Amino acid sequence: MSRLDQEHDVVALARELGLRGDPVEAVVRFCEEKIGCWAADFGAVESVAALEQLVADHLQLVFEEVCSDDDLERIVAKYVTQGEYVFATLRDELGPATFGLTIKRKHCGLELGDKYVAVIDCRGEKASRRFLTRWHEIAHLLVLEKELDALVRRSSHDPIERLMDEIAGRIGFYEPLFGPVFAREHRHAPLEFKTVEAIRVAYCDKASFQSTLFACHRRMSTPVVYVEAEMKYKADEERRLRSKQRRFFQDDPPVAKLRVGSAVPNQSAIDRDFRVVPNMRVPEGSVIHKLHSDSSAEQASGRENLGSWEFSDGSSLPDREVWVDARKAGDRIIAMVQPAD
Amino acid sequence: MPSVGERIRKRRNELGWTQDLLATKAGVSKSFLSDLENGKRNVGADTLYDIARVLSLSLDYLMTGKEGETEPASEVQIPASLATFAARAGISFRQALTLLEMQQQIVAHRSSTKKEKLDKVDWQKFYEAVKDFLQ
Repeated sequence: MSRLDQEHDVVALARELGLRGDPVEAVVRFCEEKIGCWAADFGAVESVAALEQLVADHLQLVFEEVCSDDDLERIVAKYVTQGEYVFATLRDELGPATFGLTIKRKHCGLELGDKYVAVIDCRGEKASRRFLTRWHEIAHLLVLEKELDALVRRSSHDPIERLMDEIAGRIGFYEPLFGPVFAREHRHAPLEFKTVEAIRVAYCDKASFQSTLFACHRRMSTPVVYVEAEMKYKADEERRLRSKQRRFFQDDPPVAKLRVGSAVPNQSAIDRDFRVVPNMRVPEGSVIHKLHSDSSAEQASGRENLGSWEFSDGSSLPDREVWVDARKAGDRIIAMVQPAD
Repeated sequence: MPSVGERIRKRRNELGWTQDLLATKAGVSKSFLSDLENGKRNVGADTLYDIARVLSLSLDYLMTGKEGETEPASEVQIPASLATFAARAGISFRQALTLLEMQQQIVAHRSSTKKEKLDKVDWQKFYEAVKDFLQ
Protein backbone atom coordinates (compact mmCIF):
# COMPACT_ATOMS: atom_id res chain seq x y z
CA MET A 1 0.00 0.00 0.00
CA SER A 2 1.31 3.44 -0.86
CA ARG A 3 2.48 5.99 1.64
CA LEU A 4 -0.50 7.97 2.77
CA ASP A 5 1.42 11.23 3.13
CA GLN A 6 2.32 11.11 -0.57
CA GLU A 7 -1.17 10.47 -1.88
CA HIS A 8 -2.44 13.28 -4.08
CA ASP A 9 -5.90 13.42 -2.48
CA VAL A 10 -4.41 13.66 1.00
CA VAL A 11 -1.94 16.37 0.00
CA ALA A 12 -4.75 18.27 -1.76
CA LEU A 13 -7.03 18.04 1.27
CA ALA A 14 -4.31 19.38 3.57
CA ARG A 15 -3.61 22.20 1.16
CA GLU A 16 -7.29 23.09 0.85
CA LEU A 17 -7.53 23.23 4.62
CA GLY A 18 -4.64 25.70 4.55
CA LEU A 19 -2.30 23.31 6.35
CA ARG A 20 1.44 22.94 5.97
CA GLY A 21 3.96 20.21 6.72
CA ASP A 22 3.34 16.47 6.68
CA PRO A 23 -0.23 16.34 5.31
CA VAL A 24 -1.36 13.37 7.40
CA GLU A 25 -0.08 14.81 10.65
CA ALA A 26 -1.39 18.26 9.70
CA VAL A 27 -4.93 17.03 9.00
CA VAL A 28 -4.96 14.89 12.14
CA ARG A 29 -3.78 17.88 14.19
CA PHE A 30 -6.41 20.06 12.52
CA CYS A 31 -9.09 17.66 13.76
CA GLU A 32 -7.53 17.30 17.19
CA GLU A 33 -7.34 21.08 17.58
CA LYS A 34 -10.96 21.48 16.56
CA ILE A 35 -12.02 18.94 19.16
CA GLY A 36 -9.64 20.45 21.69
CA CYS A 37 -11.30 23.85 21.28
CA TRP A 38 -14.75 22.39 21.80
CA ALA A 39 -13.60 20.41 24.82
CA ALA A 40 -11.92 23.47 26.33
CA ASP A 41 -15.06 25.55 25.88
CA PHE A 42 -17.17 22.80 27.42
CA GLY A 43 -15.02 22.27 30.48
CA ALA A 44 -14.24 18.86 31.91
CA VAL A 45 -14.95 16.03 29.51
CA GLU A 46 -14.70 12.89 31.58
CA SER A 47 -15.21 10.02 29.17
CA VAL A 48 -14.85 9.21 25.52
CA ALA A 49 -18.62 8.78 25.33
CA ALA A 50 -19.08 12.34 26.60
CA LEU A 51 -16.45 13.57 24.14
CA GLU A 52 -18.21 11.85 21.26
CA GLN A 53 -21.51 13.44 22.25
CA LEU A 54 -19.88 16.87 22.50
CA VAL A 55 -18.29 16.52 19.06
CA ALA A 56 -21.48 15.15 17.54
CA ASP A 57 -23.44 18.10 18.95
CA HIS A 58 -21.03 20.55 17.35
CA LEU A 59 -21.25 18.76 14.05
CA GLN A 60 -25.05 18.50 14.28
CA LEU A 61 -24.65 14.77 13.97
CA VAL A 62 -26.79 12.01 15.40
CA PHE A 63 -26.03 8.31 15.31
CA GLU A 64 -28.37 5.48 14.47
CA GLU A 65 -27.14 1.96 15.11
CA VAL A 66 -28.41 -1.03 13.20
CA CYS A 67 -28.14 -4.09 15.43
CA SER A 68 -30.77 -6.16 13.61
CA ASP A 69 -32.82 -6.15 10.44
CA ASP A 70 -35.73 -4.87 12.51
CA ASP A 71 -33.59 -1.92 13.58
CA LEU A 72 -32.91 -1.16 9.96
CA GLU A 73 -36.61 -1.15 9.08
CA ARG A 74 -37.36 1.08 12.06
CA ILE A 75 -34.71 3.60 11.01
CA VAL A 76 -35.84 3.58 7.38
CA ALA A 77 -39.45 4.18 8.43
CA LYS A 78 -38.51 6.88 10.93
CA TYR A 79 -36.72 9.04 8.39
CA VAL A 80 -38.79 8.28 5.30
CA THR A 81 -41.88 9.48 7.13
CA GLN A 82 -40.00 12.73 7.75
CA GLY A 83 -39.46 13.15 4.01
CA GLU A 84 -35.88 11.83 3.97
CA TYR A 85 -36.45 9.38 1.17
CA VAL A 86 -32.79 8.54 0.66
CA PHE A 87 -33.04 6.42 3.80
CA ALA A 88 -35.09 3.96 1.76
CA THR A 89 -31.82 2.99 0.05
CA LEU A 90 -30.26 1.87 3.33
CA ARG A 91 -31.34 -1.73 2.78
CA ASP A 92 -29.06 -1.81 -0.27
CA GLU A 93 -26.41 0.61 0.90
CA LEU A 94 -25.64 -1.36 4.05
CA GLY A 95 -24.37 -4.37 2.18
CA PRO A 96 -21.99 -6.96 3.62
CA ALA A 97 -18.91 -4.81 3.10
CA THR A 98 -20.28 -1.48 4.35
CA PHE A 99 -19.80 -0.56 8.00
CA GLY A 100 -21.51 2.79 8.06
CA LEU A 101 -22.53 5.85 6.15
CA THR A 102 -23.51 9.42 6.85
CA ILE A 103 -26.50 11.14 5.31
CA LYS A 104 -27.09 14.86 5.16
CA ARG A 105 -30.73 15.54 5.86
CA LYS A 106 -32.81 17.73 3.59
CA HIS A 107 -35.42 18.55 6.16
CA CYS A 108 -34.00 19.49 9.52
CA GLY A 109 -34.11 22.48 11.76
CA LEU A 110 -30.75 23.92 12.74
CA GLU A 111 -31.93 23.97 16.34
CA LEU A 112 -32.58 20.23 16.27
CA GLY A 113 -28.95 19.38 15.77
CA ASP A 114 -29.55 16.51 13.39
CA LYS A 115 -28.32 17.88 10.11
CA TYR A 116 -26.31 14.69 9.63
CA VAL A 117 -27.30 11.14 10.48
CA ALA A 118 -24.56 8.52 10.72
CA VAL A 119 -25.99 5.03 10.34
CA ILE A 120 -23.65 2.46 11.85
CA ASP A 121 -24.14 -1.17 10.89
CA CYS A 122 -23.54 -3.28 14.00
CA ARG A 123 -25.00 -6.51 12.69
CA GLY A 124 -22.90 -9.64 13.04
CA GLU A 125 -19.15 -9.26 12.85
CA LYS A 126 -19.48 -5.59 11.95
CA ALA A 127 -20.24 -4.88 15.61
CA SER A 128 -16.53 -5.12 16.41
CA ARG A 129 -15.91 -2.09 14.19
CA ARG A 130 -18.64 -0.01 15.76
CA PHE A 131 -16.42 2.27 17.84
CA LEU A 132 -14.01 3.17 15.07
CA THR A 133 -16.75 3.48 12.45
CA ARG A 134 -18.48 6.12 14.57
CA TRP A 135 -15.26 8.11 14.84
CA HIS A 136 -14.57 7.52 11.16
CA GLU A 137 -17.86 9.20 10.26
CA ILE A 138 -17.02 12.04 12.65
CA ALA A 139 -13.65 12.44 10.93
CA HIS A 140 -15.38 12.97 7.60
CA LEU A 141 -17.50 15.75 9.04
CA LEU A 142 -14.54 17.42 10.75
CA VAL A 143 -12.92 18.04 7.39
CA LEU A 144 -16.18 18.28 5.57
CA GLU A 145 -16.25 21.77 4.16
CA LYS A 146 -13.42 21.09 1.80
CA GLU A 147 -13.78 17.40 1.45
CA LEU A 148 -17.40 17.21 0.40
CA ASP A 149 -16.72 18.38 -3.11
CA ALA A 150 -15.01 15.12 -3.83
CA LEU A 151 -17.78 13.03 -2.39
CA VAL A 152 -17.33 10.25 -1.01
CA ARG A 153 -18.24 6.72 -1.82
CA ARG A 154 -14.94 5.23 -1.09
CA SER A 155 -13.42 1.99 0.03
CA SER A 156 -10.87 1.32 2.71
CA HIS A 157 -8.25 1.27 -0.06
CA ASP A 158 -8.92 4.90 -0.88
CA PRO A 159 -6.34 7.34 0.51
CA ILE A 160 -8.95 9.64 2.00
CA GLU A 161 -10.65 6.69 3.71
CA ARG A 162 -7.30 5.58 5.09
CA LEU A 163 -6.75 9.11 6.32
CA MET A 164 -10.18 9.10 7.97
CA ASP A 165 -9.29 5.82 9.68
CA GLU A 166 -6.05 7.40 10.87
CA ILE A 167 -7.95 10.41 12.22
CA ALA A 168 -10.57 8.15 13.81
CA GLY A 169 -7.86 6.13 15.54
CA ARG A 170 -6.35 9.30 16.96
CA ILE A 171 -9.40 11.29 18.01
CA GLY A 172 -11.27 8.20 19.20
CA PHE A 173 -8.38 7.72 21.61
CA TYR A 174 -8.27 11.38 22.53
CA GLU A 175 -5.02 11.95 24.35
CA PRO A 176 -6.31 13.96 27.34
CA LEU A 177 -8.66 11.04 28.12
CA PHE A 178 -6.64 8.10 26.87
CA GLY A 179 -3.24 9.20 28.19
CA PRO A 180 -4.11 8.93 31.91
CA VAL A 181 -5.77 5.52 31.41
CA PHE A 182 -2.76 4.26 29.50
CA ALA A 183 -0.36 5.56 32.16
CA ARG A 184 -2.39 3.97 34.96
CA GLU A 185 -2.69 0.54 33.35
CA HIS A 186 0.69 0.28 31.65
CA ARG A 187 3.54 0.96 34.01
CA HIS A 188 6.52 -0.55 32.22
CA ALA A 189 7.58 -2.17 28.95
CA PRO A 190 6.94 -4.54 27.35
CA LEU A 191 3.36 -3.92 26.35
CA GLU A 192 1.33 -7.12 26.67
CA PHE A 193 -2.02 -8.10 25.20
CA LYS A 194 -3.54 -8.51 28.65
CA THR A 195 -2.54 -4.91 29.40
CA VAL A 196 -4.14 -3.75 26.15
CA GLU A 197 -7.35 -5.51 27.17
CA ALA A 198 -7.25 -3.87 30.61
CA ILE A 199 -6.76 -0.48 28.96
CA ARG A 200 -9.65 -1.16 26.57
CA VAL A 201 -12.02 -1.98 29.41
CA ALA A 202 -10.90 1.01 31.46
CA TYR A 203 -11.04 3.47 28.56
CA CYS A 204 -14.09 2.35 26.63
CA ASP A 205 -15.43 -1.16 26.62
CA LYS A 206 -17.14 -0.47 23.30
CA ALA A 207 -13.79 0.09 21.61
CA SER A 208 -12.45 -2.93 19.79
CA PHE A 209 -9.36 -4.74 20.98
CA GLN A 210 -7.66 -4.03 17.67
CA SER A 211 -8.27 -0.28 17.74
CA THR A 212 -7.11 -0.12 21.36
CA LEU A 213 -4.03 -2.13 20.49
CA PHE A 214 -3.08 0.37 17.79
CA ALA A 215 -3.71 3.28 20.13
CA CYS A 216 -1.35 1.71 22.70
CA HIS A 217 1.17 0.83 20.01
CA ARG A 218 1.16 4.42 18.80
CA ARG A 219 1.57 5.78 22.29
CA MET A 220 4.45 3.54 23.39
CA SER A 221 7.71 5.42 23.81
CA THR A 222 9.71 2.21 23.37
CA PRO A 223 9.92 0.18 20.15
CA VAL A 224 6.99 -2.08 19.30
CA VAL A 225 6.39 -3.87 16.03
CA TYR A 226 2.89 -5.21 15.52
CA VAL A 227 3.07 -8.39 13.43
CA GLU A 228 0.42 -10.43 11.69
CA ALA A 229 1.62 -13.85 10.52
CA GLU A 230 -0.26 -16.11 8.15
CA MET A 231 0.32 -18.97 5.73
CA LYS A 232 1.66 -17.37 2.57
CA TYR A 233 3.80 -17.97 -0.46
CA LYS A 234 6.98 -16.10 -1.24
CA ALA A 235 6.25 -12.93 -3.19
CA ASP A 236 7.58 -14.30 -6.47
CA GLU A 237 5.73 -17.60 -5.94
CA GLU A 238 2.56 -15.61 -5.40
CA ARG A 239 3.15 -13.61 -8.57
CA ARG A 240 3.78 -16.71 -10.64
CA LEU A 241 0.77 -18.49 -9.23
CA ARG A 242 -1.35 -15.59 -10.41
CA SER A 243 0.29 -15.43 -13.80
CA LYS A 244 0.32 -17.61 -16.86
CA GLN A 245 3.61 -19.09 -15.64
CA ARG A 246 1.63 -21.21 -13.23
CA ARG A 247 2.36 -24.22 -15.40
CA PHE A 248 6.04 -24.05 -14.36
CA PHE A 249 4.99 -25.22 -10.91
CA GLN A 250 3.28 -28.37 -12.07
CA ASP A 251 6.16 -30.62 -11.10
CA ASP A 252 7.22 -28.79 -7.99
CA PRO A 253 4.37 -26.70 -6.62
CA PRO A 254 5.25 -24.09 -4.00
CA VAL A 255 4.28 -24.68 -0.40
CA ALA A 256 2.75 -21.93 1.70
CA LYS A 257 4.71 -21.24 4.87
CA LEU A 258 4.08 -19.13 7.94
CA ARG A 259 5.19 -15.66 6.91
CA VAL A 260 4.86 -12.10 8.10
CA GLY A 261 1.70 -10.74 6.49
CA SER A 262 2.11 -7.25 7.85
CA ALA A 263 4.53 -5.59 10.23
CA VAL A 264 3.71 -2.16 11.64
CA PRO A 265 6.44 -0.41 13.64
CA ASN A 266 5.58 2.43 16.01
CA GLN A 267 7.50 5.69 15.80
CA SER A 268 10.06 4.60 18.37
CA ALA A 269 10.77 1.41 16.39
CA ILE A 270 11.19 3.44 13.19
CA ASP A 271 13.56 5.84 14.94
CA ARG A 272 15.71 2.95 16.20
CA ASP A 273 15.51 0.86 13.00
CA PHE A 274 13.89 -1.94 15.00
CA ARG A 275 12.01 -3.90 12.40
CA VAL A 276 10.45 -7.08 11.14
CA VAL A 277 10.08 -7.34 7.38
CA PRO A 278 6.79 -8.22 5.65
CA ASN A 279 6.68 -11.55 3.86
CA MET A 280 9.76 -13.01 5.56
CA ARG A 281 9.40 -16.52 6.97
CA VAL A 282 8.66 -16.93 10.63
CA PRO A 283 11.32 -19.35 11.95
CA GLU A 284 10.13 -22.60 13.49
CA GLY A 285 11.76 -21.72 16.79
CA SER A 286 9.80 -18.50 17.11
CA VAL A 287 7.09 -18.07 19.71
CA ILE A 288 4.79 -17.16 16.83
CA HIS A 289 5.49 -20.35 14.89
CA LYS A 290 5.15 -22.57 17.97
CA LEU A 291 1.78 -21.01 18.75
CA HIS A 292 0.64 -21.53 15.18
CA SER A 293 1.61 -25.20 15.37
CA ASP A 294 -0.07 -25.81 18.73
CA SER A 295 -3.77 -26.38 18.10
CA SER A 296 -4.56 -26.39 21.80
CA ALA A 297 -3.06 -22.99 22.64
CA GLU A 298 -4.62 -19.59 22.05
CA GLN A 299 -1.73 -17.42 23.13
CA ALA A 300 1.94 -17.61 23.97
CA SER A 301 4.79 -15.32 24.92
CA GLY A 302 8.51 -15.53 25.49
CA ARG A 303 11.99 -14.37 24.56
CA GLU A 304 13.77 -15.15 21.33
CA ASN A 305 16.49 -13.74 19.10
CA LEU A 306 15.60 -11.86 15.93
CA GLY A 307 18.85 -13.14 14.42
CA SER A 308 17.07 -16.44 13.76
CA TRP A 309 14.62 -14.68 11.42
CA GLU A 310 16.19 -15.31 8.01
CA PHE A 311 15.53 -13.95 4.55
CA SER A 312 15.43 -16.25 1.54
CA ASP A 313 18.89 -15.01 0.49
CA GLY A 314 20.35 -16.37 3.74
CA SER A 315 20.77 -13.03 5.50
CA SER A 316 18.91 -12.37 8.71
CA LEU A 317 17.54 -9.65 10.94
CA PRO A 318 20.06 -8.12 13.38
CA ASP A 319 21.03 -10.24 16.36
CA ARG A 320 18.75 -8.92 19.10
CA GLU A 321 16.90 -10.41 22.05
CA VAL A 322 13.19 -9.64 21.84
CA TRP A 323 10.04 -10.30 23.81
CA VAL A 324 7.16 -11.69 21.76
CA ASP A 325 3.56 -11.74 22.90
CA ALA A 326 1.34 -13.63 20.45
CA ARG A 327 -2.25 -14.75 20.17
CA LYS A 328 -4.44 -16.41 17.58
CA ALA A 329 -6.90 -14.36 15.57
CA GLY A 330 -8.73 -16.65 13.18
CA ASP A 331 -6.23 -18.08 10.70
CA ARG A 332 -3.62 -15.54 11.65
CA ILE A 333 -1.29 -15.02 14.55
CA ILE A 334 -1.07 -11.46 15.84
CA ALA A 335 1.96 -10.52 17.87
CA MET A 336 3.84 -7.68 19.44
CA VAL A 337 7.61 -7.82 19.12
CA GLN A 338 9.61 -5.61 21.48
CA PRO A 339 13.21 -5.39 22.67
CA ALA A 340 13.70 -7.72 25.64
CA ASP A 341 16.03 -5.40 27.53
CA MET B 1 -29.52 42.89 10.65
CA PRO B 2 -26.27 41.20 11.68
CA SER B 3 -23.05 43.06 10.98
CA VAL B 4 -19.98 41.79 9.13
CA GLY B 5 -18.36 41.03 12.46
CA GLU B 6 -21.36 39.09 13.69
CA ARG B 7 -21.41 37.00 10.52
CA ILE B 8 -17.71 36.24 10.96
CA ARG B 9 -18.24 35.21 14.58
CA LYS B 10 -21.25 33.06 13.68
CA ARG B 11 -19.33 31.19 11.01
CA ARG B 12 -16.24 30.87 13.23
CA ASN B 13 -18.36 29.32 15.96
CA GLU B 14 -19.97 26.96 13.47
CA LEU B 15 -16.50 25.75 12.55
CA GLY B 16 -15.53 25.47 16.20
CA TRP B 17 -12.56 27.77 15.67
CA THR B 18 -11.04 30.06 18.25
CA GLN B 19 -10.25 33.65 17.39
CA ASP B 20 -6.58 32.64 17.54
CA LEU B 21 -7.07 29.97 14.92
CA LEU B 22 -9.06 32.14 12.53
CA ALA B 23 -6.65 35.04 12.98
CA THR B 24 -3.71 32.78 12.14
CA LYS B 25 -5.39 31.28 9.10
CA ALA B 26 -6.49 34.67 7.77
CA GLY B 27 -3.17 36.38 8.54
CA VAL B 28 -4.58 39.04 10.88
CA SER B 29 -3.94 39.72 14.55
CA LYS B 30 -6.25 38.31 17.18
CA SER B 31 -6.94 41.79 18.56
CA PHE B 32 -7.91 43.04 15.12
CA LEU B 33 -10.24 40.08 14.66
CA SER B 34 -11.75 40.61 18.10
CA ASP B 35 -12.41 44.28 17.34
CA LEU B 36 -13.84 43.37 13.96
CA GLU B 37 -16.23 40.81 15.44
CA ASN B 38 -17.34 43.38 18.01
CA GLY B 39 -17.95 46.06 15.40
CA LYS B 40 -15.15 48.29 16.64
CA ARG B 41 -13.03 48.23 13.50
CA ASN B 42 -13.55 48.63 9.78
CA VAL B 43 -11.94 46.21 7.42
CA GLY B 44 -10.44 46.55 3.94
CA ALA B 45 -11.60 44.45 1.03
CA ASP B 46 -8.34 42.50 0.82
CA THR B 47 -8.48 41.45 4.45
CA LEU B 48 -12.16 40.66 4.25
CA TYR B 49 -11.47 38.54 1.20
CA ASP B 50 -8.83 36.59 3.15
CA ILE B 51 -11.26 36.01 6.02
CA ALA B 52 -14.06 34.98 3.65
CA ARG B 53 -11.75 32.53 1.90
CA VAL B 54 -10.65 30.73 5.05
CA LEU B 55 -14.24 30.64 6.32
CA SER B 56 -15.44 29.23 2.98
CA LEU B 57 -17.91 32.10 2.61
CA SER B 58 -18.49 34.39 -0.35
CA LEU B 59 -17.34 37.98 -0.05
CA ASP B 60 -20.85 39.12 -0.94
CA TYR B 61 -22.35 37.16 1.91
CA LEU B 62 -19.87 38.51 4.43
CA MET B 63 -20.49 42.09 3.34
CA THR B 64 -24.27 42.01 2.89
CA GLY B 65 -25.52 38.81 4.50
CA LYS B 66 -27.84 38.43 1.55
CA GLU B 67 -26.35 35.55 -0.34
CA GLY B 68 -26.19 31.88 0.50
CA GLU B 69 -23.55 31.08 3.03
CA THR B 70 -21.40 29.20 0.59
CA GLU B 71 -20.04 29.90 -2.81
CA PRO B 72 -22.65 29.67 -5.54
CA ALA B 73 -23.25 26.09 -6.52
CA SER B 74 -21.50 25.01 -9.64
CA GLU B 75 -23.43 23.74 -12.61
CA VAL B 76 -25.03 20.39 -11.92
CA GLN B 77 -23.35 17.59 -13.80
CA ILE B 78 -25.29 14.41 -14.33
CA PRO B 79 -22.92 11.42 -14.19
CA ALA B 80 -22.82 9.50 -17.45
CA SER B 81 -24.02 6.35 -15.70
CA LEU B 82 -27.12 8.17 -14.41
CA ALA B 83 -27.83 9.74 -17.79
CA THR B 84 -27.61 6.31 -19.41
CA PHE B 85 -29.87 4.77 -16.80
CA ALA B 86 -32.39 7.63 -17.05
CA ALA B 87 -32.61 7.23 -20.80
CA ARG B 88 -33.03 3.47 -20.56
CA ALA B 89 -35.59 3.61 -17.74
CA GLY B 90 -37.51 6.50 -19.28
CA ILE B 91 -37.37 8.69 -16.21
CA SER B 92 -37.59 12.45 -16.53
CA PHE B 93 -34.71 14.89 -16.18
CA ARG B 94 -36.30 16.17 -12.99
CA GLN B 95 -36.45 12.66 -11.55
CA ALA B 96 -32.83 12.05 -12.53
CA LEU B 97 -31.85 15.24 -10.75
CA THR B 98 -33.77 14.12 -7.67
CA LEU B 99 -31.95 10.79 -7.72
CA LEU B 100 -28.63 12.59 -7.96
CA GLU B 101 -29.53 14.90 -5.09
CA MET B 102 -30.49 11.92 -2.95
CA GLN B 103 -27.28 10.13 -3.77
CA GLN B 104 -25.33 13.25 -2.84
CA GLN B 105 -27.02 13.31 0.54
CA ILE B 106 -24.84 10.30 1.36
CA VAL B 107 -21.79 12.28 2.36
CA ALA B 108 -19.60 9.49 3.70
CA HIS B 109 -19.52 5.79 3.23
CA ARG B 110 -17.20 3.34 5.02
CA SER B 111 -16.69 0.13 3.14
CA SER B 112 -14.08 -2.59 2.87
CA THR B 113 -14.46 -3.19 -0.84
CA LYS B 114 -12.86 -1.28 -3.65
CA LYS B 115 -15.56 0.32 -5.74
CA GLU B 116 -17.86 3.08 -6.37
CA LYS B 117 -17.02 6.44 -7.63
CA LEU B 118 -20.22 8.35 -8.25
CA ASP B 119 -20.23 7.19 -11.84
CA LYS B 120 -20.29 3.54 -10.70
CA VAL B 121 -23.41 3.78 -8.57
CA ASP B 122 -25.99 1.12 -9.33
CA TRP B 123 -28.67 3.61 -10.33
CA GLN B 124 -31.16 0.88 -11.11
CA LYS B 125 -30.98 -0.40 -7.55
CA PHE B 126 -30.97 3.13 -6.14
CA TYR B 127 -34.02 4.04 -8.24
CA GLU B 128 -35.90 0.90 -7.21
CA ALA B 129 -35.42 1.82 -3.54
CA VAL B 130 -36.84 5.34 -3.86
CA LYS B 131 -39.10 5.27 -6.92
CA ASP B 132 -42.27 5.42 -4.85
CA PHE B 133 -41.17 8.81 -3.56
CA LEU B 134 -40.12 10.40 -6.84
CA GLN B 135 -42.44 13.06 -8.21
